[in-house]
Amino acid sequence: MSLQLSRFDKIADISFKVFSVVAICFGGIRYFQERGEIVEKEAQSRSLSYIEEYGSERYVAARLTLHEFWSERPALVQLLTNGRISERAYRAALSQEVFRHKADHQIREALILLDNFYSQVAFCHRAELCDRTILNEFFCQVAQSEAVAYLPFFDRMAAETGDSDLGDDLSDFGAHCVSVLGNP
Amino acid sequence: MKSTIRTLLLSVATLGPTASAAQDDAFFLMSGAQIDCIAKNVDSYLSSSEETLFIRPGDCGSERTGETISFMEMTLNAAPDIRIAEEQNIPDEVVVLTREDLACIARQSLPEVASLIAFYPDGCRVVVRAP
Repeated sequence: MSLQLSRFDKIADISFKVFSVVAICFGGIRYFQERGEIVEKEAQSRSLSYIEEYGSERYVAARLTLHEFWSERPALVQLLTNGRISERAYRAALSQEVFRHKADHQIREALILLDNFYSQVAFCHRAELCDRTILNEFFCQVAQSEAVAYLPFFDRMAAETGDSDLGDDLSDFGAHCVSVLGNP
Repeated sequence: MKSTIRTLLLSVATLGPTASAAQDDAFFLMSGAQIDCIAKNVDSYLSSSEETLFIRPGDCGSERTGETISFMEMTLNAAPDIRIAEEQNIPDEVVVLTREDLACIARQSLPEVASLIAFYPDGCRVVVRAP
């Protein structure tokens, strides 16, 4: 009788231990799942906050300034968007139509604001603190266009101020993000 | 903060000379025949009221001689969608010249034959790139 009880105790003890191990494993897996979901939601939230900031009054005003700058130069825009152009010819065209008259000064503040914004977006993208898919889908294509269009402007500002980092983050983000339309 | 410092730096920078070496070296590529044609038709190009003219050198010599690019309405985002091409030693499709540049080209003694000429607006220099 006592031998049967002892065997039953052993089985119950082993069963309890197995159950405990399984429960701990499930608990651990669930913990990491929940932790992953929280991290993912935080990353999505950060990405969405950048989209919200991009639509804020000061960034809309900056983009309007840039829009106005280009819309005042329709022939230049026509030249730039009609097929491909070499970087040398682009810089020469800007030199004649924009830099010669110091017309770039009217968009410098907007460009600095843009550069500052992309510095934050690029860091969040690089450090994987943001949801890369959201950033790519919303910002990549426009960042790639802006990186190409404004590189000579940033180079000129960098040459004048000695701040060689100007525009680097925009270029870096444009080069490393993945556009939904495919990278050029 | 970084943005404010940059704005201040730029404000100081704009007080001094602003032309950088990179812009001074800007040039356009044209064939000898194209620049010669533009020089001979300067008056047609100068009939435009624009201060800066966007000229297709390839059109010079045709019935479109003297025409410049001019579009009154364009729609675009915060930046035009520019596609950068590899640099090739061929004439530029469009050159951007001021009235002053055109007058200067007309005064230049241009090489009789050249397949490729670089025109530097700064200093109105004409340099033969390929004979």
